[in-house]
Amino acid sequence: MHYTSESIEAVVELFAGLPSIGRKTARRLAFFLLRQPDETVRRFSEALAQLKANVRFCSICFNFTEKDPCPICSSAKRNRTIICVVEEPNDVFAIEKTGEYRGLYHVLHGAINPLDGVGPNDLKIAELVARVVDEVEEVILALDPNVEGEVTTQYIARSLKPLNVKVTRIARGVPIGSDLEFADEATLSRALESRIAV
Amino acid sequence: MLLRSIILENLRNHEHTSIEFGTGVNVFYGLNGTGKTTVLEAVAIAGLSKTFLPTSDAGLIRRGADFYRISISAVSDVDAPYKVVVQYRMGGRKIIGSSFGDNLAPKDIIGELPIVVLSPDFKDITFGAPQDRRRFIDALLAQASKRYAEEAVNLKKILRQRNALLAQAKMRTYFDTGLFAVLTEYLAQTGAEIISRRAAFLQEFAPVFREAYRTIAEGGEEVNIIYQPDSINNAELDKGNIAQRLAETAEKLRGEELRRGVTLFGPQKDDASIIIGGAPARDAASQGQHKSLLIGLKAAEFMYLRDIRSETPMALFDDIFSELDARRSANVLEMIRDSKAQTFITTTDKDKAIFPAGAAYFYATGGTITQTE
Repeated sequence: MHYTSESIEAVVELFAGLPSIGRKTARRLAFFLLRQPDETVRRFSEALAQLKANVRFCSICFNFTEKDPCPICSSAKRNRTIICVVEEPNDVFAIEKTGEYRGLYHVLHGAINPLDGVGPNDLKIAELVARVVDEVEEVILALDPNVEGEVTTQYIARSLKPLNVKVTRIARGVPIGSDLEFADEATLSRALESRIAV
Repeated sequence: MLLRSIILENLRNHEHTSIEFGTGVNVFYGLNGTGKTTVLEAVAIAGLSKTFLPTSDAGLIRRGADFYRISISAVSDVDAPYKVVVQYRMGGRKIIGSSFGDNLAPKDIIGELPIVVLSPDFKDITFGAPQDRRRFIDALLAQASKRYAEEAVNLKKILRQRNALLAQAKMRTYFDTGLFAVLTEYLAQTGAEIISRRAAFLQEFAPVFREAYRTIAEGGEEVNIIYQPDSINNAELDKGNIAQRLAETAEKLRGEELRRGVTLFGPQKDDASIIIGGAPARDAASQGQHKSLLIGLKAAEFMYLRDIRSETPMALFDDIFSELDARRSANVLEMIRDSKAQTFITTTDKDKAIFPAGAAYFYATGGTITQTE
């Protein structure tokens, strides 16, 4: 590839290492950046440098934050008797967008997966158990609806049992706003199983 | 279900083959290795997400190409259109899209094009090991119920996780008793889900099988198919009881599981016994009876699927008339005619059997298919 440059190739290599970006897209992004004003590219690289320098884990909930404890953990407006447990920081974002949840969070940073060598000790489970003190009344488990999420849910429920705290999990069911006929059959079958009286 | 047309791209020796099917019997004839069976495999991939022959996806790609693609256009019994495209690129994963959406998982399309395949390779169902019969039952139930397909996928994942944990315990690298208990309970619950569904299925399926054996296979002997779940008595088949029983079995086997580093109980060890004249067919049936039993099972699969999905399945017959005598061939063809199922047949010799009037004929040679009179 003599018609390109080492600098371009270095950037392409880095972009291609990102999730869901292939080499073609990586190259397109690199060329796009080359055509941008110097100022834009400089802001881009500064933002990247600051990302690593400024962002760390909240020492309470293990969400990403710039100041420790994070805004949610230090907010006086949040209900401190409920903790919602999620797998990834992205999940906090998803639940916050609903605007309906006013409690605290706890981010596990993954799910139990012995096949990939991820055991309970590799996640923030012990930290969660340590957080469940007197004022906490309920722990909501909002993990992904797959085998790993289910195993993690059951494991945490077991670990919290001696602490006499209410442990709940989010419901599984049919998406709102779409037609029943478009719901996938496995979800619909589970929704039928956990039907409720009206 | 009615297949209107199919396009095969880079599948085995087909570079680009486009076929418009007849609504009844479609006969593909030609010498061995000309690409007849590949057409049936393509239909199976579009319906079951994989071929009925033991070939990997990479092995299906035409030499010199780096992907294969199958596109199918079909209509249901009530004329609702259905399209599906399955594509596999070397080293990637299958990309599946259908009328219901893009980026689908295999379980999302299984059952949408109900299919019954009969191939001489399936003689292992009556001849072979328990896993051959489990595969038959699992494949049938996956087409009948999406929930079953999902539970079966979950079971596989749970077993892999539990076996990984047991292997680590055996190597004494890591063992968490709490996690082991969680995985054991999860296996017991998912196992119970699968066992109770298999049991209910075989209750309904056995009479259909007995009837099909008597009429289509013209067998005189009493036959049956009886579920034999691992470590459960057939008598107590209620979901809660089964989970309880599996949990007790797990308790008993715990020491041995830890020593051997592998799961030793669960529905992955089930069998279904096929009985002829009071004895297991595996030992007691003659060559001819094995063929009749297989036809009986497949005819019953057809009827069961048609009832449960309210949709006529398509029948794929891969080179079966070379194995069947004239009477059995005639019975099978008569069943097809009566059921009005769209049928795809491969044969080296199109005069081997008397196909129904109105059948469409396709000549295969070197990876091309030509419609003939």
